[in-house]
Amino acid sequence: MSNFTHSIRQLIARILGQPSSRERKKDELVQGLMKALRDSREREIGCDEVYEVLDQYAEAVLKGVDTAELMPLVNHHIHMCHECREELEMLMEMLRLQMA
Amino acid sequence: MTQYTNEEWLDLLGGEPDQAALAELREMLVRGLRYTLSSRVKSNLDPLIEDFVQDALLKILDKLETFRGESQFTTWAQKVAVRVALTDLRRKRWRDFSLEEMTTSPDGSVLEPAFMSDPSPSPERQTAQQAMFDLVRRLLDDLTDRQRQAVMLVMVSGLPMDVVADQMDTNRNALYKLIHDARLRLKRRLEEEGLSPEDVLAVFG
Repeated sequence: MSNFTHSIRQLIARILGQPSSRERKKDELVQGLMKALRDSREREIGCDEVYEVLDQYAEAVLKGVDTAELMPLVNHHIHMCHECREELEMLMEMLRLQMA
Repeated sequence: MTQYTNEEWLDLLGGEPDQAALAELREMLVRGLRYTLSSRVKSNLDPLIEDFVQDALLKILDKLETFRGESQFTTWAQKVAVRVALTDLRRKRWRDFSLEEMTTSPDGSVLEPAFMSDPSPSPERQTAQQAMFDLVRRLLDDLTDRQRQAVMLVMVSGLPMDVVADQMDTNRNALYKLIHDARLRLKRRLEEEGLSPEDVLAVFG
């Protein structure tokens, strides 16, 4: 086992197993993981596929289109991926500025 | 700003770019980035924006033939600029980060991430919750080494995927797929234990 793998295992043990770990933060960790598992789907697309259509998606959102209906896989990825969500938000801010 | 159609933009920027059109595009990107980054970046923005716009314009001209005309050209161009800016900012913010330093202190012990620094004393443990902690720990242990690294660094420690991907010698797309596989594996293992994520969440509700 590499040192890094060992370190990661120790990190997990420290967070979840040791008596000194902080209950509230442990709660948040487990809840965050479980929400991600709950929302996971067998078929998901990656960041590259989302990037390909992010411009169309942003325009659709601004037009009030139901993107969950029109682009469900992109919609779900945006829900799951912090980075793509951040990029969408910033793009929409720029588009709103342009429209103002 | 001149209202060009998509076809006009492609004509103007293809081959030897029309300098007036290029200047208009540049001005739009500078204005948009300055507006959106002013709330995200505290340091002097102008040199950063200059670099981002320069990089974005090169990418836009280089990838012009990939624009499929399914959005406004200017939306597509701004998408490119957003990706350039945010990816660079995430990397700059975590410039000195390394996985080894993240998890190991100089004496070899594991560092506590920020979310463990809450100094409040632990309340008495709830038996059911502790069982869930132990279960999650076992589930994480069943992941491959790379899946476990990715889950811990991105989902638990909250590091940007661009940064973790660099450190793991992969790219953001592949890292997302690695984490997706890990999530599905954890979910299946949980089901093998006769539980759903909702069951576990109910214990903490």
